Amino acid sequence: MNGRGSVMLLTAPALVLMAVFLIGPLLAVIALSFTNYQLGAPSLSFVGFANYIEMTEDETVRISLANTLIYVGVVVPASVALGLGAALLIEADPSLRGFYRASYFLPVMATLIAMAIVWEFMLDARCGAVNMLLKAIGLGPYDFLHDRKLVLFTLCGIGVWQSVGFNMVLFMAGLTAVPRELYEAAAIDGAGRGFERFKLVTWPMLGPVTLFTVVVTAIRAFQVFDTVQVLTDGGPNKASEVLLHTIYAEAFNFFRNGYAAALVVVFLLFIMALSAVRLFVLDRKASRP
Amino acid sequence: MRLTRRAATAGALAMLGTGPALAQAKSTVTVQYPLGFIFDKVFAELKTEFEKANPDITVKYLPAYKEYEDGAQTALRGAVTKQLPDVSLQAINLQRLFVDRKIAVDLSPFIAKEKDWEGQGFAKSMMALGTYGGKPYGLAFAASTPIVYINDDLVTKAGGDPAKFPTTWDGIFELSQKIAKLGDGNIGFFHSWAITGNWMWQALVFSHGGKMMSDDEKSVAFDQEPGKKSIGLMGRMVREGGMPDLTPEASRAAFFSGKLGIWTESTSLLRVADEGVAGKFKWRTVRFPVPGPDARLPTGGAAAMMFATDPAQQAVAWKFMKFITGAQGATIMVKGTGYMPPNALPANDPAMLKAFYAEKPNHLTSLSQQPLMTAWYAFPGENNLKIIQVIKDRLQTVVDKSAAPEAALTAMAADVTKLLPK
Repeated sequence: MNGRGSVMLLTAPALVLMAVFLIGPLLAVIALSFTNYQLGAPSLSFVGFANYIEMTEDETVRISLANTLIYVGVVVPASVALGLGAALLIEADPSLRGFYRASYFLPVMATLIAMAIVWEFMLDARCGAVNMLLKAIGLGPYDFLHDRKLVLFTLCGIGVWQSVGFNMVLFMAGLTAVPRELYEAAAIDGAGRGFERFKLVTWPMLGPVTLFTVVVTAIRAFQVFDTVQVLTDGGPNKASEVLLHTIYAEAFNFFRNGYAAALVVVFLLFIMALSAVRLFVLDRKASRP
Repeated sequence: MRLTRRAATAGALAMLGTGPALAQAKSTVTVQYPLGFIFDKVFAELKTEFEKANPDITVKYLPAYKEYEDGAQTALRGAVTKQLPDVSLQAINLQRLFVDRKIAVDLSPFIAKEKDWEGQGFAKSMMALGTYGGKPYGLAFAASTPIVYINDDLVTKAGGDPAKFPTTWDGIFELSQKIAKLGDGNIGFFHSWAITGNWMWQALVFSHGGKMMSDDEKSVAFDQEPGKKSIGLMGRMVREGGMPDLTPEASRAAFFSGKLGIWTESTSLLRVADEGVAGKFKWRTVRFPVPGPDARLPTGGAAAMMFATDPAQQAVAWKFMKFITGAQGATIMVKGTGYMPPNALPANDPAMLKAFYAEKPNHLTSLSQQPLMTAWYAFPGENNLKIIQVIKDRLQTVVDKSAAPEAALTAMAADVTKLLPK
């Protein structure tokens, strides 16, 4: 067997799996997006770009896209900054390090649906823990999940809470990779502590990790669904409608699977754009001498 | 495996000469119904009575559908994953979805085997509620119309007379303002506009003499004069009636705690209201205002449909459907909810409901609106559920004052037109 043959043979299982579970379904979704297929309907017909044209006039899609972008715009900077902060603080002092790491990482491991229900109790307008605390300092009460102006930001808060731990772990890994000598050199140059040292050594060295973290968090934030489905169902009056929830509702509440498939294609474009950023920027950095 | 063993046991028992009753395996009928907060108790009682009459059948309920639309969605999903109940209770206007998709079973062979079907109370008017293309698919289980619930104490305090309650919207709004002026967190008026997405919207348009679609079902008709009056009326409810933007749960809580003076709701909530108010204050129900010429009101409610495909299972399902929609089932249902019985027998039978109605005048309000009743309109085509949603979304913009009523109506008509079959 020549070299090429064995390459083919050895990659075949992976390629077949990729074709069956990734490429195949993706092509099926793209094909469906040009039809009027309804879940369970006996037949379907080709409708060209009708689904995509409908999307441009669909107010729900517009609202849900805007909400998703706001969600990403809040969750990404907040959870990246807090994750970095937590990593720096925990790494700065060895006491109780294990405890802090574990407790910050806990939300990442917990099932978000179960946690969403816990949040629902905590955020209750009449007897929730959050409003009790606010009342103690003379604020509120706020109806976090039913107030049209608050609901999206409440979900952002839960999103941040959920991703800080994950980002913290990524930054910790990044911090261990920073060579000790650089800190020593910085100390000799007079930037021995605090912000100076962070600006001169830590932050530039964390560049690639930060970019990776931002992209991963953004992709995860784009996929926000569980909290919306459990806590608000997109309401009140679409104030917390997000892209994935709209897709779900179109496909499994209204059974308009063709239209939902078209939305999935648009959604995938966003995710692919983000992945492309990671690929190109990181690879360019890596290949630089 | 278990079945085989059971069959083997049955065979052994039969050989031993034990009676056929023992040899008969117990069968189960699975049933799913909507609106648990209204129906849970009724279906618990129906199960008890049905199993008493049919000891060889066990009734198993799947978790109740939250609302009618959610019920239809769950069942349509179940049809794809082959997880349907044998009997499903669906909104009268959503039955069409299951007929079009050939999920519901044609009931005519079962009816043909019955003796004196009409004599059992299954009158033509009742059967019409579940007939599509000339074939019966649904047995109407519960029927309703919108009525007005009023808190006697609040109305009296505000200077009104509950016994001479206004029959026009103008009168209602005037009274509502007076109730709101009492202060203490009192709300004058709330119209339950969100009920099953578009039912109350149909009630307003029909009560002004309008209709949802043109006669050929090709174009929207709710944007004509009666619809314009109806959407204008909703604007006035907010502006002049002082109607707040409440969720259905919040409006129920407000009425039950005595903070809401005038409340339009379905008659189906009478039992829930009885329990919610629990004698804290006096209340009554009056007829829904009907301003238009040729006014009508849509018949809300649910019908039992058969989804079972196996003949043995179908036979069991039929027994259950016939029981809950028959005279005995209807009596239990009426006493446990606020719905009207589609079955013709019980209302005039002293042993069944006649005495009950004499004691419960609130239940008579909807019955007195019977001459106005018309079909709960089902939008044509496969986007039926989505159409209901866009109507609800547009009505919401009027209630939360984010859109002018006329603009909301224009947008609603445009949205629905886009979703109609081309």
